[in-house]
Amino acid sequence: MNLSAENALYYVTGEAAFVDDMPEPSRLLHGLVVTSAEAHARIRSFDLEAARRLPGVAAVLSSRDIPGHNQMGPVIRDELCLAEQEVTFAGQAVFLIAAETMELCRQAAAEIRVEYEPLPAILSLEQAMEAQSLLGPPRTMCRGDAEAGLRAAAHRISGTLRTGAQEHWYLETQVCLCVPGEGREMTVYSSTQHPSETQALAAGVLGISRNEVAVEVKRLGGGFGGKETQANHTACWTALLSRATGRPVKIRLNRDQDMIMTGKRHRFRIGYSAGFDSDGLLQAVRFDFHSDGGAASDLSFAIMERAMLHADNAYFVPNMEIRASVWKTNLPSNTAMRGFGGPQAMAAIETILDRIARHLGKDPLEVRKRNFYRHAPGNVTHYGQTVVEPPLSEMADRLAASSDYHTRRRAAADFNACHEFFRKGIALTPVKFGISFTTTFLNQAGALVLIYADGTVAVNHGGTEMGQGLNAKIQAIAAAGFGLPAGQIKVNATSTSRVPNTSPTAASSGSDLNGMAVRNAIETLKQRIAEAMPAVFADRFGGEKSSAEDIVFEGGCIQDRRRPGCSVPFSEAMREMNLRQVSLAASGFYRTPDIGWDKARGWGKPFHYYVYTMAVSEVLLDLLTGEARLLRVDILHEGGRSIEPGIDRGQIEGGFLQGVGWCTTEEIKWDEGGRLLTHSPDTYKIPTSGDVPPVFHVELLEGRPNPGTVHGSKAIGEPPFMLGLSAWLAIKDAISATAGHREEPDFDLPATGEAILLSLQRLKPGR
Amino acid sequence: MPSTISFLLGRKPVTIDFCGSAAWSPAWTLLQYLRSLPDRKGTKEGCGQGDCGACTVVLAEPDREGRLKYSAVNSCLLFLPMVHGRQVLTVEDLKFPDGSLHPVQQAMIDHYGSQCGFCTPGVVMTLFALFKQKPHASAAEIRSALAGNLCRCTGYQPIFRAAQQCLALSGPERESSEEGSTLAELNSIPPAEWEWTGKSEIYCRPKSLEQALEMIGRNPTLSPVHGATDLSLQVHLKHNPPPGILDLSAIPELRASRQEKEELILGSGMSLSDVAGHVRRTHPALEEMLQRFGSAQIRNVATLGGNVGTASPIGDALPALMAYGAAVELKSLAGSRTVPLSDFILGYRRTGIAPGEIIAAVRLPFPPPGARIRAYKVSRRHDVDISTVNGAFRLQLDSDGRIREARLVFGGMSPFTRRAAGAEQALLGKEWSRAAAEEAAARLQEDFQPISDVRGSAGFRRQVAANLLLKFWSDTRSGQAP
Repeated sequence: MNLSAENALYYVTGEAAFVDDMPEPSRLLHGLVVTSAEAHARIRSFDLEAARRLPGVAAVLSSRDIPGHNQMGPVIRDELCLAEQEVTFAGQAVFLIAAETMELCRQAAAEIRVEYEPLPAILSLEQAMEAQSLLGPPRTMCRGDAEAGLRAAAHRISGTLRTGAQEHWYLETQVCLCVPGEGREMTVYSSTQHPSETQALAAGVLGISRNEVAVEVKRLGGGFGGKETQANHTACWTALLSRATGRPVKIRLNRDQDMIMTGKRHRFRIGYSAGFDSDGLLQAVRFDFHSDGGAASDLSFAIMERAMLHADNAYFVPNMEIRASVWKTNLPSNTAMRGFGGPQAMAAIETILDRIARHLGKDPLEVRKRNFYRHAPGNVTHYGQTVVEPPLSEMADRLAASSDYHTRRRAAADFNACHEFFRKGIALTPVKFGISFTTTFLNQAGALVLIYADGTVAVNHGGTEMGQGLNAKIQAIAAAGFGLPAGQIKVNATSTSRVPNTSPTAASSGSDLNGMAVRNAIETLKQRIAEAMPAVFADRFGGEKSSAEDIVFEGGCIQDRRRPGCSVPFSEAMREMNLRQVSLAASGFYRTPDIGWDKARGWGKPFHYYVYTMAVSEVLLDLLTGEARLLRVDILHEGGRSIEPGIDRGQIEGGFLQGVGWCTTEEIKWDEGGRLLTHSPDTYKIPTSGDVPPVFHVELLEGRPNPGTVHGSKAIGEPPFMLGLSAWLAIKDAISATAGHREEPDFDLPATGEAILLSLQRLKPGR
Repeated sequence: MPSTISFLLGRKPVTIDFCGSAAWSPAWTLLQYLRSLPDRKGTKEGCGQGDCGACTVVLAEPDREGRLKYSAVNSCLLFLPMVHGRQVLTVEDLKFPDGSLHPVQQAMIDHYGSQCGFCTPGVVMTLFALFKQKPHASAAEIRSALAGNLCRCTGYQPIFRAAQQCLALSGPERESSEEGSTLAELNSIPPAEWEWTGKSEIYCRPKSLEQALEMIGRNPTLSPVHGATDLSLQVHLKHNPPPGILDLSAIPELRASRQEKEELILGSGMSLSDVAGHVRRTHPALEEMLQRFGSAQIRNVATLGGNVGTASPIGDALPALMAYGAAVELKSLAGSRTVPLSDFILGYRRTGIAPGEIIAAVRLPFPPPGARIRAYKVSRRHDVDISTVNGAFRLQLDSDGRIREARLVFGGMSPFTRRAAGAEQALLGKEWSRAAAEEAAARLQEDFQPISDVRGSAGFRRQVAANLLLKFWSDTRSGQAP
């Protein structure tokens, strides 16, 4: 049974309403955000009067018109809601307009006079480093003695890798509808991954308390991290306009505005040195991670932390040192995106493994396998967590066999020997991804489960549905808990009025945390019902008294497992519960057990468990145009016992292709004034159907239920993203083949056609 | 003059009078209109510029054989009057009257084709058009049809599986019975012709070429438009509308083609999809380029006349047209004239069109036997991307194997698409060898001084342009099919 069918039904018929599709309240105003075109400038003066005088314009606001705090930094309070004396990036919100139509908003914007005095802007990591423009103190994490390990190693390599920014490109752009209520009440319909934070920040800018703001989220048209903190912005702006006018206001960023105003995946510059023996076994690795945080902190430090915690990927590195700095630039504040620092770090360690293989003339898979986490003491990460029974070697062997890895590598070599203008490349890369928020307190979730007297169930939880199939999984968990068909369970829109103080739906944790909270609420209800059922059975069937421990919920009925025939349909039983004054509502709560770590020391157990996944990619490279085409991809994914294999498969296929986009065609460029050049889909290219490999196999490794999670399942959202690195390294393999795999190609990320051609040119013999 | 349009929205006849309505302007897009209706929110705006396909709807209209032809289009680019006389089908129209799902919808559910669901209505409509027009589509055709629908969640694989399932099912259809009445209703809508003057805009919609020439003769500032895939961006994205719009999409003779002894005459209003079908056997290099021109949704409304008239430096049809020796047929009240395309394009988005003229047709000579012609496109992404460099090359060899005629046309290398005179000269009289190709490639450095922009650096453009000549040699050297 396809458990996502119910949601899908509304998608395929067009009934599913996103925020912009909701029936418009009467007297609705449209909102427009007026942004800075300067990357860094002092605001000398501005004049809003002409704009305010236009008929049909209801409000034109500046930072002076904010009744509460002019602040929307989610963790560190360093991000203004509207610029005050200075703008610090192009695309920063400066003024807000509400008018009867969008056309009027635009006319009003044209009437605003602002005088900027340009200031020097920092637009690259190098400039930031030069100016020592740090967003916060650098951090170090180490185990063993990297310096000594490097010195003692038989072989050493070092280099610098740059990874590019990435735009989320959720199909639904940022959007919010605010409806003012009585007094100071405000209802916020937002496309946010973090309703509680949206609530807190909207209350903050309005200067009201959280119990006066209700945030409701039915669904998101994609998030990918881009709506974890930055949906707050649109919500705050909309709330301000709604408060100022006393009318409902909607702001929907158009695609170009969204791309210009919002942050991206952090670009990284990574310096690395690695020491290894003649078998390719790693002795020591040292990394210097530098990330471009943009103009404010946002989640940059948490992202850098996750990068540091994934610098090992799947490999045991006895001596490891990671130094990390987050730099402040005059660009939109970079933010969460699927993988959250993991992809950048894995690109670096995988580059090292790839280089070791080339350096020693070995097959990269052999080198990778040699370095996988293994038995003690080679099973402890550089931050002290034990990697329990890593299935890495078995998975690599199984995938190599099922994908004909060795045969195809030989075939590629034969192909390369007899083609002048084409090369094939193949790479197998693993992913070991830690599951849990590394900000430990966030590993909690709440739920509120309601049973109605007709036997139908409504489930409320703190997670948001954004395409990952969370609600279908929650529905499955609830259906299994009550022994009911899924159709009897309804999952409500997420609302801060029903579940308070929730964590963002992020870090792949949505089902793990919320699923457990829902299950706990269900257990409370079942216990309560089980205690009341013996009386019902006694009245109906007489005989010996049932015991609460024997009451089971199965097949749509409640029964005594010791007394066949002693069974009441769930719906009848619920009517009875209502008549017998039994509460049919319960809240549930869950916190991830047994995790915790010492951030200051960088040591402990930050993760509940790891997800393992691997991919083999084969590419065909056109040496004349730099065009790389994926020919075949094989993925083997270890995801515990899947609650819904169809959903998990979709996350794997989709995550992989998003990763391929980051590695290949998606390139963010700014002009010399810090203005985004790639601000629309005609210049920023995410993968299309034409980029899917014609042969694409996905296998879910079965038979490994995950202890300590709901139904033995594992998180799924982020890990597959990093499988895109297999396509990236397959391209590198193809480039490397042009020089007989004897030289190390220059190779950064993304590998656009232009980057590939440049890399090929530098490898040409005689240059 | 009347100022109404009539069309079917699903099964319901709709008439809009632009004069009687303060709400509507004819330069509104079909998407803006649909989104303004409370019961048509299924159609989404993902980008508003024809790049993502979330707004895809299907237009049905009678074809030459009198059957309904279904085309997927981007509703965000189409001006509202362009749907006159057609049926507009949105995702809300697919369920059968008994409430059951269309096979396309069911297949999308069965195969997990939706994740966040925002692109789904557009995907469903693209698949619906495929289901109607090409039920035996190959895997490659399915991919090509879907290339104009961006999905950030699924990685497309589930959508391919859905497509395969529903196309396999397309047998006798329940909706066929309705098609007869739809055709009758569409045929009963008379052609609309009108001129509308709003507060600041003019929108003219002639139904005959004479009328069009008369309108533009009177007002030469009108911008002629067929599919609006370019002009619509100017109006709605850049908020910089032209003084007036001359909508030529209702003129049947501009959408017709005919074959003469030595050439094909392609009406300027033919869609690129139509053109591709016409030139498949006779001009394969042009057809190949058209396959990579925009998306299926774009190709279904964008026209040859539009691509020629826009004269963009990276217009994807232009190099191949020039390589085949195409000429442009221009008409005005004063008469008509024919200009070779390579003389017609004068500069960056600048042509030799005179005030009061419109492009009536493109004349496309048949290539002589033995001509070696290839066209190439290099872009950041394989599908639905703007070229960084494109090129079309043609060689004619003597009986002794020496090059008698060479046409090397490049786009993306200068402010407008043009021939590489020096490189062509270098080839004349030579054997078609690798050395000759490399020599010509070296001469390109003098022929072009490309710029660096967001799509690629000047150095990359130079390198790729040179490499394309090598590729041309590799693809057409002796032993390869000409």
